Amino acid sequence: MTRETSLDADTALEQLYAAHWRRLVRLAVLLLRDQGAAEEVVQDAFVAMHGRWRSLRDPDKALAYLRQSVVNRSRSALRHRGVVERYVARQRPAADLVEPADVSTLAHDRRTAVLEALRALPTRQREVLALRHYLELSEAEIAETLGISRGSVKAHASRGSAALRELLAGHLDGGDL
Amino acid sequence: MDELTTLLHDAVEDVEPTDRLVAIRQRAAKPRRGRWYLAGGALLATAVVVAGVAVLTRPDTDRGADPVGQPTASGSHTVPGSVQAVYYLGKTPQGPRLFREFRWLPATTRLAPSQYVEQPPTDPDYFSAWPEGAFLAAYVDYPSGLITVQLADRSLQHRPAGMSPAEARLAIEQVIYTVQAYAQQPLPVQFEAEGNPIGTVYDIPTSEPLAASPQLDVLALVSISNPAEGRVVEGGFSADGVASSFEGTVPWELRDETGEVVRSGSAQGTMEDHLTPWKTDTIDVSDLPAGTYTFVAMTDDPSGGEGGGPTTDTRTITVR
Repeated sequence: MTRETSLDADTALEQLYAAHWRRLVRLAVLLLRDQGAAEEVVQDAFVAMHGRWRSLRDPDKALAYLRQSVVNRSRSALRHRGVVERYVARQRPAADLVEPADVSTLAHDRRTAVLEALRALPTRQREVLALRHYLELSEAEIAETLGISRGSVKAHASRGSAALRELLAGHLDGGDL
Repeated sequence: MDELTTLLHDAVEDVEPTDRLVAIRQRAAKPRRGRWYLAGGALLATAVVVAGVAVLTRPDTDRGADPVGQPTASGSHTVPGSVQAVYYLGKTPQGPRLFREFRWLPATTRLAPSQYVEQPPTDPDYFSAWPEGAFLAAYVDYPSGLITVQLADRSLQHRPAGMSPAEARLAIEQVIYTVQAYAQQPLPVQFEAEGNPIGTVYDIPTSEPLAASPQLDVLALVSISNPAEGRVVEGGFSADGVASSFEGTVPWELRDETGEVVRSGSAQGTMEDHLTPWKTDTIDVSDLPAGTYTFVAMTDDPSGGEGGGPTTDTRTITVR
């Protein structure tokens, strides 16, 4: 195993890709909904990380950079895609995130509902929820990733959770929310 | 785990991203996006990932024979280049057939697409039918719909000793398939030497432009795109490729260094008059000891070996 200090950019890229590609794409799907766009965004993040490896030099820092980059790029992708999305919506009746053949209609509906509900939230709330409930980052890590205070993270998390629970009431079992 | 955590994980659980490592490495190695080269009067993007399938051949490590130049010592700067599909000969129950390999080719090598086939394959099971120096250049002329492949001289008009007629025919197809992949269009291919069409190459008539033969006649019936030879895997990976197999079924196995099968399954493609894509689910290798493994993809062989047995393609991978 290569010592971290001697990792070169290409090796670091390969290792981080092996360990985090899928997870980061899934994170981007939560933020963006569309898988193709999610892959583009995460691909760009990896390319940027590779270019910045000289100043990162450490896999943990590189991962933090990747997370931040994925969130920021997803946000800007969302801003630029209104027109495209309306066009695509006309072409395609439904999102093709999952293969309905493989999963029960119920699970499919639930997944679609969760992604739709996330879309309905304000951007910051969606980001905080995805980082907290999908990547399971701490408040401090979320604050660092988004460049906001821990207090703001708390506020977005609590408003976001409440809104999401309301939107998904039908899919959450048990009343102990 | 609270309920939102469960829901969010569940919402993306079946999102299986395509493998983009090659595209990432390719772009990471480039100072700018999109390099354009002039070839035969037509502008070609060399940065296209052929057929949308991204695969890595490890460009700058571990292979002394690899034509690829080493990056600078710091490792922080690498060479620009592109990923290209190159066809090579390999053994199958139907005799020699063409397997497709994706190669990283640095721009500094300045190879003509026909010269790709002069580069040794990454997979040790494959070989090329062309010696180094066989080709001078290749031009893609989109307006007139022709690819011209220039041989260095007339020395390859006849089939050398040791090459079977079947291999000679396949050698021509190797060039046609490779330059058509480069051109991204199935344009006919004219072989030339010293500026004029050449009558035969390896004793195969070549005075007229040639079309590619049907895939099922020349391609290996199963070919792996991912993982690339030598790929390092952590946790899990999925494999994909193209095949033409009985009922579209592509059985696969992962074997350890002793040859013992440690994982197996099958992927589902379709059955048509050409090779169609297949892809495995994620193969979990998190509980396997670190080491070298062989991934094997096969065609389904309902005859139980009567027809010569299944076609196989293999890739060596390292599990960390």
